[in-house]
Amino acid sequence: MATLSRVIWNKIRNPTKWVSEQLGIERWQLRKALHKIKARNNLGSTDRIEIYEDGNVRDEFGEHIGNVFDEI
Amino acid sequence: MRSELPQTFATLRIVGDDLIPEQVTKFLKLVPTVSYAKGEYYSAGKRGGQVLGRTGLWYLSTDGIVASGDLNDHLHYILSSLLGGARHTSNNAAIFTANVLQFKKFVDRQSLKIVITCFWYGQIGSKRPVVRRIFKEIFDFIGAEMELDFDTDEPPLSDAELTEA
Repeated sequence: MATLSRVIWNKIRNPTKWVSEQLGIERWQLRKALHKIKARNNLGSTDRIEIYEDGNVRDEFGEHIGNVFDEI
Repeated sequence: MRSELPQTFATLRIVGDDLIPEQVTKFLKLVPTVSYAKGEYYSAGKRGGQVLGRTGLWYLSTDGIVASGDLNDHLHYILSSLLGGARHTSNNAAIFTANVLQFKKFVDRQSLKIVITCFWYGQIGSKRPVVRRIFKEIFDFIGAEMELDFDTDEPPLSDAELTEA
C-alpha cells in the first residue's frame, strides 16, 4: 500500500503522547492498536516500526503491516 | 479518573513456515482472530489493506472476547483455548496433563513456535499486573515464549512537547 503521508514515529521505544495526539486518539488506543498489529505480524513489542500521520504502520523493512485506525 | 483504564488483553500466536492454519484450527477447535500461511495475503482491515504473510501464523486475541480488567482472566482464556478447555474443561489432573502433552506433541511435530503476549495499560502510577505462576509454568512447559507489554499513561504534554517536530 502506497503511503504518501509523513512519518510521525520511527524510534525503537514506545511512541509518546505526542504521537497519539498527532493521530487524534488517546495514547492507550495507540499502544493497544500497535500491540495487535505487531503480534498479528509476528513482531515483538520492541521491534522497530514506522507510524505515518494517516495511521499506516510499516515494519523496519518498509513493509506495510496495518493501520492504527482499523484497530480502534 | 479515566474509566477506560486499565486496558488489558492477551494474544496467542502459533508460528511456523510450514504452518497450515486449518490444521491448527482443527486441532484447537477454535476460530482464530487472524490466520494465514506463508506467502499468503491477509486482510489487515479497511484501511490496512492486504498484507503479505512472511511466515505461517495462527493468531488469537482476547480483546473484545474476555470482558475483564484482570490480565490473568485473559491468560486463563488463552490456556483454556490451547488445551481445548473451552469445551472440555476438567479439574481432573490426568485429563489436564494429557491435554497439555497432546498439544506439546502437536507443536513439536510441526516445529511450531508459540508466543503469548500480554498487554496492559494503566493510569499514571498504577500498579502493574502480576502474571500467576501457574500460567508461567505451563506456558514454559509447552515451550511458549511470553512477552509482557506493560505501560502507563504519560503526563499531559508541555507547551514545548506540543510543538515537537
